[in-house]
Parts: sequence; structure tokens; C-alpha cells
Amino acid sequence: MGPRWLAAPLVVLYALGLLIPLVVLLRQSLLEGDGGSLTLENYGAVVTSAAYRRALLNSIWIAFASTLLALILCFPVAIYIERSADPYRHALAVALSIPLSLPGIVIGFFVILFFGRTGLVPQLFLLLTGERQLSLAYTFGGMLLGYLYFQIPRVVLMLRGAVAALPQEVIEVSRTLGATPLQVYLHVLLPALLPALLSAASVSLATAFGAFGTAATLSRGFRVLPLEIAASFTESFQPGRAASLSIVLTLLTTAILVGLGQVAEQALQPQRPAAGSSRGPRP
Amino acid sequence: MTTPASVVFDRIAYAYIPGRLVVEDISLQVPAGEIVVLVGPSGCGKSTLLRLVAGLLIPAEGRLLIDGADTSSLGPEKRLVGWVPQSYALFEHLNVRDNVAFGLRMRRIPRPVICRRVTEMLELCRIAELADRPVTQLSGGQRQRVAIARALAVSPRVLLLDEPLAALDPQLRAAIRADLQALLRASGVTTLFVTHDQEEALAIADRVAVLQAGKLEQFGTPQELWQAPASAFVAQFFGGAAVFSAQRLGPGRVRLAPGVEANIPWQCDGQVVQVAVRSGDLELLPEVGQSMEAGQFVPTAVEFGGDVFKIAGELIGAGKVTLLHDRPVILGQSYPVRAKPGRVLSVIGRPCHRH
Amino acid sequence: MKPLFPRSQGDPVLAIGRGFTWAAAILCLAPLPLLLLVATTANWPLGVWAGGITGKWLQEGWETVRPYAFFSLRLAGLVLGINLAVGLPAAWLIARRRFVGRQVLMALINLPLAIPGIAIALALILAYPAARASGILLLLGQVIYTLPFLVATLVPALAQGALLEREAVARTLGATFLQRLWHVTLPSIRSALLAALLLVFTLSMGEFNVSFFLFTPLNKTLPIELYSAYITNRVEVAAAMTALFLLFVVPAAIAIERLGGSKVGQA
Repeated sequence: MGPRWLAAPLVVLYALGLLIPLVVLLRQSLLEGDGGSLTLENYGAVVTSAAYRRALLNSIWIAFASTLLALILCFPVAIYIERSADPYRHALAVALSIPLSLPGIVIGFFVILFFGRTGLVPQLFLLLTGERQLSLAYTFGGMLLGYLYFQIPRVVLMLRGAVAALPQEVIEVSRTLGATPLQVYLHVLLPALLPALLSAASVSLATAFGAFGTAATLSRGFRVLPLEIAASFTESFQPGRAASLSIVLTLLTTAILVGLGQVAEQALQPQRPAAGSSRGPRP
Repeated sequence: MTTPASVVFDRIAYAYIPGRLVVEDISLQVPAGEIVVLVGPSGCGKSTLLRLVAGLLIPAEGRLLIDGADTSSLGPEKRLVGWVPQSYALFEHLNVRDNVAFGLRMRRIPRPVICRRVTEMLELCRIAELADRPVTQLSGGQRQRVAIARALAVSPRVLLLDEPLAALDPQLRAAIRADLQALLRASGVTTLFVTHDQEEALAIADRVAVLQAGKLEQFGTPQELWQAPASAFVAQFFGGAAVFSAQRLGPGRVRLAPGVEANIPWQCDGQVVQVAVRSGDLELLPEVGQSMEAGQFVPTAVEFGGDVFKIAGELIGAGKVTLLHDRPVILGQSYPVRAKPGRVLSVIGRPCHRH
Repeated sequence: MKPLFPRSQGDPVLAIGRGFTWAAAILCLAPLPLLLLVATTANWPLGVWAGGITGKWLQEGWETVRPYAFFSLRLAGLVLGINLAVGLPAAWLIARRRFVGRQVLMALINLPLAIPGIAIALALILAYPAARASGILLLLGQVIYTLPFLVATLVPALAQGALLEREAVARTLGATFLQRLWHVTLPSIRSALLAALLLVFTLSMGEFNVSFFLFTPLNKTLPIELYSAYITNRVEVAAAMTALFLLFVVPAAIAIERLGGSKVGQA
């Protein structure tokens, strides 16, 4: 038994559990509604149907918005956790990691608890101002909050590794060369961490696109793509539609992961030397 | 070029962890324009002193003066010191030219001035042909030169080098050391140079500060450290001397061991003196001429050193010493030994008055 | 860890980081006490603890979730077992051998990470419609979903240079393969293994996206039951059920973080 056979059970499992089903999924997406001939009608519907277009746009909107906010928020957080000497920063880091274990539905429920019709915040407003305000659980704002809650611990985790890997002395040297703290952020930290930021962005975007639980709990009109997939299968019994939407979504997340991942790889490369100068051997 | 500055450590102390002082009561005066080497075993606090000068650390006690001015309220951005850490800490996302230009960019110097200055530095450090290369493609010696060029580009008042040669291959070290010394002399900047290599320290320094466990053992010229070590530690650190107590026999003469008499500086007094015996101070007697008074030496280990054999062994009546010989010897056999005529042993401490 | 900026010189940008971190930490933790408040309030729409503090929601919640909690636990156990049996050998292979197709294998293992959970579930249903009722698709879907995480946690631990050196030294000292495995390898990867198992456990217990399509009335997981509570039930009882659910996953999550942490969970 050569060592390669160690992976055989896994490969069989994947073939049965993933590869074959994906092929079936693809085939289903190309079939007509009643299982007849091959057709591109299901994919056509994605483009022609206003509802599906809307859902795609909404998905793009919320994925990019939540990812961008998460990156802006978590960049200083990651740097603080890894670089400061405050003794309580580890406790803060553990607190930040609690949501990692929570499924999207629970996070959605949290948003409801805070901002639902009987949520804490509207109740407080009612008490203080007599008017029920900020009951935004089922709006775009509420969903964004939920998605953000979901993204924060992941992005912090992904960035922390890169921040920790940045040698302390590089930052110190930039200070002795005259960089103010702001200049350290802009000219040293940001460029050095760009690959990690891009990589974190790619994973965040892909996860946000595929998010279902949070949307299922919080959406009342703001439809995203995963919801349409669920609806077209369980409610309207159109497996072809569901399949084509799934394929589109999968292509989208895969493209983001691979595409942004490649950009992150490129960012890791040093600047190209000018044409004409000799390129030394790589270490 | 900024005029080089003097650096004064006035009773400096620092602790990374409260209660555990890493440097203690350090007082040193570094004259402007000199190369001062901070030397000592690992963990003695020499890198910490550099960081204190750079402003990355604030002294727990004492004052640090650059050009006579107290620096305690000055952050690293304002001190105009060039710091080159042991890892060189180059900016990996920039090429050589941009690395060297970094400090000038941070200080918002106009672009044409930056261009000129960078070219100047690249020439000075002999890395002009590497200007557009990404730093990730450089060798260790090249990185070192980029780091130094980067530090010098901002015309610092003081240059701080933290073990700049430690990361290089031993074969290259001597050649690069010579280059480095020439560069430092040419630029004339006050330099604080940290190393744990005693040979390097003696070769390159105008003055040497010897540190051990956070305390200053001695501060002086290389010659002073060699000929008049202040303590046994300093004597052992430079040249690996063996330290013995010797009985003084008269002005300038001591008995080192039964049968071995040696010269010391004639001003030294005291009944018993601590002397440093280095590998060139003793010699084995030729077999012939046994009428001469001699001590006994029993070799325990022999090393071939190219030109000579380095022999470690026991000087009967004194202790372990090393000496040099042009032939190998038999271990365990006793050989007659004497102090080399004309050599003057270094005396430890300050029992020697100067006139 | 040396301070970036000496303590006596306040650093404005680290201060921003500190502020953001506190805000984020409070954001992350705030729902927990609120959850307990709601779960113990007799009549939440009227305010905090309106109608009195009560344990009846928790009791009712527990009665409802108990069968599903135990089902989820059993499912998680099965998922763990299959993961170990299938994933550990594969992780060993990837960590220690170079062979043609290694990159392809690694890409394959990570494939589920790129595919949304509902797509995986949908594909499974369409491929094996007859198997749905037995619940085996649920198991299969969760295994596929969690395997990449297990392998990703184990490969670095098994590939550690220091560990390989120790095994080589043990070999020169005469240890057989099984002896090396027991005395050198397993102790070295203990914390990574534990983290991986906790990770799979937490992922399985909290898994929703895949389970949503694949569950049946007889094979219903705790998150699915939670979801229906969110849609149909009173907010107090839903909060109580959520609090009980958290009891299962939060301790494990904290343990994972203490062991080194890794990517987890799904939206």
C-alpha cells in the first residue's frame, strides 16, 4: 500500500459527496422545467428576471459594504491587539472571537433582539422620546449589522497573523527615519499588510455572498441570491432555477476567492525592477 | 551633512520588566565624530543602549544627552539618529532606491533634493547598480549596505549600528568590516557600534565600552583595554586571557608560577598583582639548555591554527593557559615553559600609577 | 512583546486601535446579556423583566430543544468520527509527502470552502433524492463542509520541521513506526488535534446552511429548530432556546481560541 492510498477514502468521499452532485447540479440547471431537453433558459431567467437581477445586486451591495466596513474597522484592531502591550488585550481578543462559533441565524436573532419591533433599542427610544425609533432589524441596515457582526472576528483573525509576522524592527526603523505614527500606518503598515487585507477581503466577500442563515432570519424584502435559491426550490419547486442560481452564485464566490487571491499573491511580489537593469537570482 | 553630535549617557538605567534592570548606572561620553563600540556577551544590554539613543525606549533613570541637549521629551522622529537594527529591517515592499529615500520622504524634502541625495548615498555605499532592485532579491551584504545608506541618507547626527556584521558569512566579514570602517571614517558621523565579537571591537573602534550584565566594565581605547584591563572579565574577553595572581618580585617583575617569572609595567605596585596571560605571552623551551629556570606545562588539547599550533594546558602552580608553538606536542607530557623574553603582561585593575 | 511606543509617549494611532477594539469587543459581547435578559423576562414586548423574572421560558425552551440537541450531538459525533477516519490520513499524506497531484488534492479538499452551503445541499438532493429521507445526506453534507477545516488545522501541525526532526531522532534511537506515532507524533500534535476536533464539533453543532435543505422531520438539528423558533415563536422562548444552544458551542469556541484559534463558522 503506497502512501497515496491514504487519501483514497477522502477522494471517494468527495467524489460521491461533492463532485458527482455538482455535475448533477450543473445538468439540472441546463434542463427545462419539467426535466425535458437541454436549455439555457434557466440562466436566461437570471438575466431577464427583475427579481433575480435585484437579488444579485443586493447580494453584491451587502457583501461589499459589510466587507469594506469590516476591513476599515478591523485593521486598527488587529494592529492594536498584536502591537500594544496592554495586559488586557488578550481578554479583548477572546471577546472578539466569540461570534466565530455562532451560526448566521443566531446573529440574525441578535439583531432582532436589539433592533426588532420589540428590540431593546426601539424600546429605549420609546421610553426616552415617546417614539419607536431605529427598528431596523428587517431593513438593509439591520442586515448589514448582522453581516458585519459575522465578519469582524474572521477579519481580525485573518489580519492578526499578518500583523504579527511584520517584524517589530521595521516599524521602529521607520520611526527613527522620521515617520509620524500616521505616516507609519500609511507608508509602512498599509503597504506591508496589503496582501493580507486583499486575502481577507476575498474570503469575507465570498462568505458574505454565500450567507444564507442571516438573510433567512432578517430579510423581509431585501432579497439576496441565497434566498432566491431557497425559494425557487422549496416554494416554487423549480429545481432548474434553483440549480442555475446556485451555479451562478458558486461561480461568483469561486471567482472572487481565486481572483482576489491572485491579486493578493501579486501584491506579495516586490516591485518589478526597471527594464534594462539586471535581475539577480531569487534567494 | 549635519555636524556629528556627541552622545552622553548620564547614569542611565532601563528595565523591560519592572524590577529587572537590563542596564544599570551607565555613564559614558561619546565624543562627536568617533566610532565607539559597545561590546559584551549576549544579554549584556548593548542593544538596549542603542534603542535608548534612538528614542525607542525612555530611560527609567538618568539622562541621555545628544549634543548637550536632554532628549527625554524627544520622540524618535525628531532625534535625527540613524538606526540600523541587526535584521536590517528593510521595507520589503520597496526597492533599494525607495528604501534609501524613505526617511527623506517622511521629512517632506523636495523631490529633486531627494533624488540627488539618494544617488549620493548609493554611490557612497557602492550599491548604485542595485538601485531598482527589489530588496527581497539582495544578499546579506547588499542588504546591510542598503540599511546603512538608508540611515545615512537623512544626515543623522549619530549612527547606531546593531551587530551589522553578525548576519554575514564569516569569510565575508573581515572584508566587509574593512569597507564599513572606511565608509564610517569617510562620512565622519558619530557612530555607536554594537558587537559581541571582541576582535571586531578592537579592529574598528576609536573607543570601546565593555558591558557585562548591564553594567559598564571599562571604557577606553582598544590599547588601554588590552594593556590595562580594568577587571578579569575585560582581560578574558579580549584575547581570551587567563587571569592569575602573581607575586611581585620587584619593580616590573612578578613570579607567575614556580619557575616562571615575567615582566609587568614597572609602575605597578602591591605585593600581589592580577595578571592577564595571553597566548603569546608564554613559550615552550627548546629541549637544549635545561639549565635555565623554567616552569612546567602539561598540554591537554592541541588545535592547528594554520601558522601555529594553539595548545591548551595546565601551567603547574598557576592554572589553565594557552600558548602557541610551531610544532605539535604530546598530551599529558610535561614540558618546560617560560615567559617570552621582552613581553610585558597586562595587569588587571589599577594598581599601576601613571606619571 | 516590546511596546511599540514607550508607555510615557502616548501613541495616537494605537489609541484609535484601542478605541475600535473596545467598541468591537462590546459589540460582540453585548448580545449575550441581552439574550439572558429576554430569556428570563415574562413579557418582553413590555420591557426588560416586565411581568417579572421567570425561568419558565428556559424550561419550555429546554423541553422543546432537548431531542434536537441530542440529535445534533449524535450527528456531531458521527461527523467527528468520519472526519478523523478520512481526514487524518489525508492530512498526513499532504503534510509529509510530495507526489504528483498533491496540489490538485489540496485544491479538492478546499473546494467546499468556495461553494455556498446551500449549493452543496441542493446538489446533494438532486443527486440522491432517494437518500434524503434516511438522513445520510445530512451527514454527508456536514462531513464535506467540515473536512477542509480539519485538514487545514492538522496539516501544519503534522508538517512541523521540529516534529519531523524528533521523529527522525526517535527512529535512530530504535523506535518503530507505532512507537514513534504514540510517543512522539501524537503528543506533539495534541493541541492541534484537539483544536481541530473542537472546531469540527462547533461547526457541526452550528451548521445551518447545508442542513436547511437536507433535514427531515426525523433528522432535525438544533439550528433548524432554532430557526423555526425565530420565525414562529415568541421572542422570549426563542431567546431561551438560543441561550441553551450557546451553552453547547461557546465553551468549545473559547477553548479553540485558547488553543490557537482558526477560521470557523458560516453566515
